[in-house]
Amino acid sequence: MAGISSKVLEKIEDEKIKPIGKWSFILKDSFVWTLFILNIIFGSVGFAISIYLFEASEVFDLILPVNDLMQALILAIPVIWIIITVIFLIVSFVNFKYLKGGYRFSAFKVFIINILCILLLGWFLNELGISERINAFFSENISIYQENVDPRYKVWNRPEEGYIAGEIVGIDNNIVKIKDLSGDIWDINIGNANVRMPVNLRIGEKIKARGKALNDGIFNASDVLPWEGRRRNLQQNHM
Amino acid sequence: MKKGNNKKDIADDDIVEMVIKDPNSYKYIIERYEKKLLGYIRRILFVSKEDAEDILQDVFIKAYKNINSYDSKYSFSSWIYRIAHNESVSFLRKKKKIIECNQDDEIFDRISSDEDIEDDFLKDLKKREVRKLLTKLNPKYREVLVLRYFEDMEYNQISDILHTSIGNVSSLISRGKKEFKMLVKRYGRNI
Repeated sequence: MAGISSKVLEKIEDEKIKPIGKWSFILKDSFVWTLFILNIIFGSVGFAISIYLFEASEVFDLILPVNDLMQALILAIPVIWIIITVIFLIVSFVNFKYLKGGYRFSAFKVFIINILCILLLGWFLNELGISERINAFFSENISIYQENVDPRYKVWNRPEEGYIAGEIVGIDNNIVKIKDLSGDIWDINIGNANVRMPVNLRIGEKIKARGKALNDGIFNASDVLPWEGRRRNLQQNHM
Repeated sequence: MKKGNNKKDIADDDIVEMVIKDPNSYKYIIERYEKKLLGYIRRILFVSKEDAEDILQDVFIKAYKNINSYDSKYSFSSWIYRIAHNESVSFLRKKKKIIECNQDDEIFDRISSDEDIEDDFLKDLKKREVRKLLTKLNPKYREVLVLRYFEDMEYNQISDILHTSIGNVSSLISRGKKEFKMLVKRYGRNI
């Protein structure tokens, strides 16, 4: 047995083996923690944008009265962002086990901790309006983003069912001309419509409208809403 | 290397501090753990004494290299057993070895430390047959039972060695005991 002791000590001396510096382990721990925090942040951003897009679809206020719940949810759930949130949740779950002492927590506890972090931080980011800004950034910088990711492009691109959205290209008294999400031109009659805050009715502004499509590209609006903005905006009308 | 004083009363953490300042003090760690770790490696791997000693050397070299990663919030014993666990797993992976019972039980008996609670736990059992049955036991239960009943580890220490939750350690021990009892019924002629 004494042999092992002397062999090890000889090897240490002969091969000039030195202990790895403490900083190296601190760096490694910090790296794992940073990865974990980033996963939580990205997951939270995903969840925050999911909430924002879901709310911005006005699904409970304006869609549900016409479509059944399942249909409304299928239309309004931002699937891509939900998938992104779940991916970061899974990665952070795996990552947690590699944190110092992370293995001491049961899988169930780790899952609950991670999901709570992502839900609470995501909710907080959405309340601060950060989700709206990030979504706007993606919309402006990624050409395929809106049509493929933003559920409003499905929810508010159904003129025949009474939901239309688009960019104002002209205004003539009560007739607002818009280019809808499919690129078609519509005349929106807003004479009897509730125009919600903060719609300004300016050329270049993007709006949503609920009402009834008539023949020849005419749409009688009962509500005009801002394209961006959340449910609470619906509480106010233009004075 | 300097000649050693009697370091039996010094805590592991203090020896680690000494090693960081003076590498010669590392011999006290080796002296303290070589017998325990050799027994542990042989109990979980069932390898020859030579192979176990090779693994043990690697364990001590790795522990020396990584001595700065030891955190005194955890027990040093768990930390060095964790390295032994990793080296054992790595040995099995390299050799693609299937665990078989080592017939050289006499050598094995000599290795068993006085501190083992094996005799207490296995009062009525024949040691050799128990070891043979351990080879038949599912590896995920074998190691946890060895740590609990041969190495006399607490649940939190086993959790630190195997990097799993205490709840999982508890359930592994419980299921391992059940499986071991079934093996005793099936194969244990003298138990």
